[in-house]
Amino acid sequence: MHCCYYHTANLLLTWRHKGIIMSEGAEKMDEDPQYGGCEGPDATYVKLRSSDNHEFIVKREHALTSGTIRNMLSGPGQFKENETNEVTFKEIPSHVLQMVCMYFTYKVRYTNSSTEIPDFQIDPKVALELLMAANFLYC
Amino acid sequence: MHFHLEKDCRAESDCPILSLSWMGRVPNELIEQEGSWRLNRSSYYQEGWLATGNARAIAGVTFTSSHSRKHTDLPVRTNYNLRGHRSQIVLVRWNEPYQKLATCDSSGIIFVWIKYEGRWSIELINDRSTPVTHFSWSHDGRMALICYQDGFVLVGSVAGQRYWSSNLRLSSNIVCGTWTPDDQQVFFGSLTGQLVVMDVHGAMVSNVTLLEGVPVLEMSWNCEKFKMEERDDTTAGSGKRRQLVLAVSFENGLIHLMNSYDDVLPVVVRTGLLGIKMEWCNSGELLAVAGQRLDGDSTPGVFTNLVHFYTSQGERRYISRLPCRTCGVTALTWGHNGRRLFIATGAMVHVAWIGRRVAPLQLLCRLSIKDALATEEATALLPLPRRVKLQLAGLFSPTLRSHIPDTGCLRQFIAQPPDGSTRLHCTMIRNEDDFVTSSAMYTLYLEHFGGLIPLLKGKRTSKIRPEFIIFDPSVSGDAEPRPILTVAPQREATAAPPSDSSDTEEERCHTPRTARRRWRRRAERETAGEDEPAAEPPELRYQPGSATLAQVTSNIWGTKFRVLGVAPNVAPDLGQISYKTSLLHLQPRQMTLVMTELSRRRCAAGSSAGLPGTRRGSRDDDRDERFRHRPSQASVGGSEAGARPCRTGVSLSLSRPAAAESPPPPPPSRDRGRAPVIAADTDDEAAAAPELDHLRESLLRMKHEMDAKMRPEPPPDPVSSKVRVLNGLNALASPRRAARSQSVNRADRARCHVVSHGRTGDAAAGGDLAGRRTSSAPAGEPALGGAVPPTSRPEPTPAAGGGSQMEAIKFIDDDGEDERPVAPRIPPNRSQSLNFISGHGVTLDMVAETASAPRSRVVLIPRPSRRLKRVKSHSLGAAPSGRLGDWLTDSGAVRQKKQPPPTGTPAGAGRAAVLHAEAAVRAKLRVPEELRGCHSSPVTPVARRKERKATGTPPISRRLLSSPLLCRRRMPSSTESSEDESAEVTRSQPFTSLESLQRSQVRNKLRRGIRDSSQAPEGAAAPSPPTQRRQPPCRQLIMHNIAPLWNESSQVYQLDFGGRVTQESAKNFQIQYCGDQVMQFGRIDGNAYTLDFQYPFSAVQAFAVALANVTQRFK
Repeated sequence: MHCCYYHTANLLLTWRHKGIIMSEGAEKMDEDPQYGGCEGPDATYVKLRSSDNHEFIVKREHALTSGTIRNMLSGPGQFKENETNEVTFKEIPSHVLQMVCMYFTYKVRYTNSSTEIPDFQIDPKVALELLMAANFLYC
Repeated sequence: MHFHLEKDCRAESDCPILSLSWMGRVPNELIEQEGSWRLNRSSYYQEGWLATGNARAIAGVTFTSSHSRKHTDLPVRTNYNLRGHRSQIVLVRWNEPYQKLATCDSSGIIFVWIKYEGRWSIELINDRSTPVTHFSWSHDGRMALICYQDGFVLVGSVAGQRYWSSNLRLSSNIVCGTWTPDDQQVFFGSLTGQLVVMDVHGAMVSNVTLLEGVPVLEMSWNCEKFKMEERDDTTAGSGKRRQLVLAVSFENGLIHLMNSYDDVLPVVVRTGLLGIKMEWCNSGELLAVAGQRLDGDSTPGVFTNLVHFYTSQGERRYISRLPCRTCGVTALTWGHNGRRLFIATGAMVHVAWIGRRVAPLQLLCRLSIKDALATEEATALLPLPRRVKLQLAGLFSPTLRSHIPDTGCLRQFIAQPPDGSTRLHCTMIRNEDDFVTSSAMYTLYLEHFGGLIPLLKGKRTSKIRPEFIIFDPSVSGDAEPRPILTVAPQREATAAPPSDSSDTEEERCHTPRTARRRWRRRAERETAGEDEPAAEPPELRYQPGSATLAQVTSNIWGTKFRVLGVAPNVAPDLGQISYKTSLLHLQPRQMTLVMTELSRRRCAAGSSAGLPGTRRGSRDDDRDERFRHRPSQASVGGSEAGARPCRTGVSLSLSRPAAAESPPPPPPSRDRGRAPVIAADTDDEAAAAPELDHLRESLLRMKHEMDAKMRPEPPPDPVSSKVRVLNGLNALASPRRAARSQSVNRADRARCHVVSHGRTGDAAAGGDLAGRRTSSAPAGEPALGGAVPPTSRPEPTPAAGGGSQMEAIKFIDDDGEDERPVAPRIPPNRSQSLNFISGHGVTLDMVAETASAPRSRVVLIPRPSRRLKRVKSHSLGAAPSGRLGDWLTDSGAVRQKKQPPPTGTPAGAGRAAVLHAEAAVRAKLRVPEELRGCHSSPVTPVARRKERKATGTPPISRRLLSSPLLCRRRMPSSTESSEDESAEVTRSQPFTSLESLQRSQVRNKLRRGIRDSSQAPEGAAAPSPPTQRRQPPCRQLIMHNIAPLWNESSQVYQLDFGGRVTQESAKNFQIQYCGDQVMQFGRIDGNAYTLDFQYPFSAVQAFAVALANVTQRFK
């Protein structure tokens, strides 16, 4: 599991030009071949779009780590996000949203687990932007 | 989980810390219900006390706080260095339910400390003269388990009763012990890996070998450290939410996690650490284990300290490395209910912030940003929303909250008085005598965390005179760790300030040879210091001797001192100290301090209306030797008072504005901004036995003079001081009604003055406890100030001018009577102990009642749904130590006597009524004899009696007055009669001269004012003399020492130093200011003294006063 996470991170760098990130679930294909899409109310994945128009497709469960995204996706009203499973962040650039997505994985992975927790490394250069994003996303 | 270490850590002591323990803080205002404190669980663990035991035999108790708010209300004192042990303290253990602290030293002495009235004192002493290997409180706090090295184990009550003891004659020694979570059994671990189980009555239950031949280090159950919720023991025992686990650590780095002592399949954790210290967090989820890494790749002397966290299933959750590499882990404890972890490595304690969950991304980002920032101030510059900035700044808030200088700000720290009511507790140590000049070096250390932080260094410069220089700490950066060992002597030698012409001797001593010698000596001491723990405080972190900060100069007799600032941005005149000599040294020394106020912050805060707030007092004796001269008006008072050789001080306050005097201000509290009230004269000790003759003489002389002054009929001597005073007063007081009513207020509130007419000062002092309680002296004094006319006065003048006018007013009142205002003054400021008793009678009473009863427990408020059985604390039998007990009963007596609560003194009440009330209170309140002695006059009772005889003049009535019973009747009648009488005089008397006419007019106005003020609200009187508003650039504050009280039984003078002074010495003193004790100095060792001070003293001033005092030759 642990390795998977970092593997994801590596993939992330290489696939970034495509603007698509398959989060951890994508790696599980061999054991769980059906991994659903981003459509419909019970979709496994949601799409996060950064300000520079990169799309990050992450597991819905992971994205719900963020209180803001949770509210957007599960709010009582009829929101566009609610139907399309796609959230656009006009103020979060892709290099920050990427870190956010990595944090989602980290958080889900090590919550309620009994394995040793590594430190989540944050580059000081993006720390301020990431803090603003995290503050907005409430995670 | 999340873990990060606090970076800018103040948790450093000056010697290895051997033990740690943390306890939640019980708020002061908590009301005790039915024998126990009820605590709110959510807030309880936010603040607490961290106890440290160190190699220098000092136990530190330091305040910790886990919330990030900047300005929370800190306790009055945030650090205690508890002295008492003689060898290094190996164990400190809090008893949280009973709020006690047990400390064990290496020689086997166990102290149990208890906090009482803001001080920690030893409640129990246990000395079996065998080293203690372990000490453990039971989970309900009622019992203690002590393991000795020789196999002797003991279970006793929290109050010191022995329940049982046993000598376990095992093959090996017992090294640790623990209570089972239900407190029904005790487990012992031995050096050979055995686990011994005994029940609560001392019967052996079992003996299991866990690991053959591997010494057990520690044992710990993962239950709550203390049961802070009161509940049925049965539900607590059976209704387990989770399986409790016993962790047993072994010397080889293994930890066994067992469900019970006979668990055949324990979970074995291989930590790979040596010298393991471990503790479960309070919730039992995490076991923190710290130690040195086992693998031997590290060179000797270099340690790789790691901290591991394990779950109760034995899974490792987190590993972190500690930055300290010079020494191993010596102690570890959790705090703040699992939010903090304290790990001691040598003198350093690492404070770790622990989060039980995966840290939020925001926190991680904040930490990352914080690491990139140098200071907290830099957060303000970041382009972040305000809330986020605040959260970020919160990460900078230290867990250890205490007032210590920041790195690089030492200079500012010592040159300014501490903020607010912050009190600095310092120790002054005479380091060494200079080899050549035998001039002594003194160092002032701030007590912190069981250790000492050097602040200032002073050096005696003259053999003949007690003169000193204080070195400037700012010159060479104090960030440098300990540079003195290598370079200090040379630099000292070369950089002696050429400006100091006076200390030639000092320069002479700085020959390179001396320096080398000193350096060698120092180095030797440094190496030797390793063996003997209590050897030497740490060296200064800065370079002393590179520049002089201040000088203490003296006259040849050592009775007058001046403190001069030498460094460029220090006030040139820091203050003066003068001592009054007494024959044969039988009287306690009396000192007068004139201190320059170095900070304006306080006065801006204290005087709300932008008040001038100049506080002045005067001591009128020995005025010929005063350093400063006074304007003409002052000279009147001066000459007048100077003519009275009996030591009668004049107390007054100047320029107290109207706003402040409208209602009687509340009694002084520490937090209140200080009202500009005069410092009291505490020196009316009229006599001591050896001075009897002198006194008699002086009294007679005074009587004559008073007679001459008082006589109104003959045309007065044109130069009579009184007339001059009256003229001045008339001119000043006549135009404004407001001023009149003020002076009347003065008459109303300053009852002390009125009451004391016709009494000798000491008689007044004898019977006047009630007066001092009800009148709450500072409350009276603002009114006094109001009466003072607005004269424009140059700033550094003392208050004698006002003093003379006050005197004049008094004389007007007295005019018709033949009683002379001999020492017509009751010192408005009381000695601290009296305030203590009278002000807090109720609390004392409460304590007194419970003095012999079992001490209450602290309990958390349980969940509301559950109905709880009250568990009485039953195991306590022992009363507190004798001294405490006496004290309590005394105070209890006071409280009972004043059962009818003192009627408050309403603002507009007529004088008679007030007097009556006061007298009534006084009659009710009969003070025990020894308490009565603790007035400001340091007069032995014997002397007082004699003196009363010696005056000759006191009629019977005066002597009766000193009886508290009779003064009730006496008081109102005397004052009323004086009014009537004088009124009659003014009406009937033809005026023989202009002066007498003026005088009578003044008198009439005053009287009218009295009547007015009894009807009109006092706030109406608001004179705002514009000239008074001008504020002098630097205030000079006059303070005096608190006179000790004479203890008849032990035949010594006594002062309450709050447990900070352990040796009696003539050099011990306390200074009071505005009724508060603001500085105290006392001996604790042959060449060590404690020095505590607060506003208005800055560290450099306080140090100067202490230096002047310590070599002061004449008492």
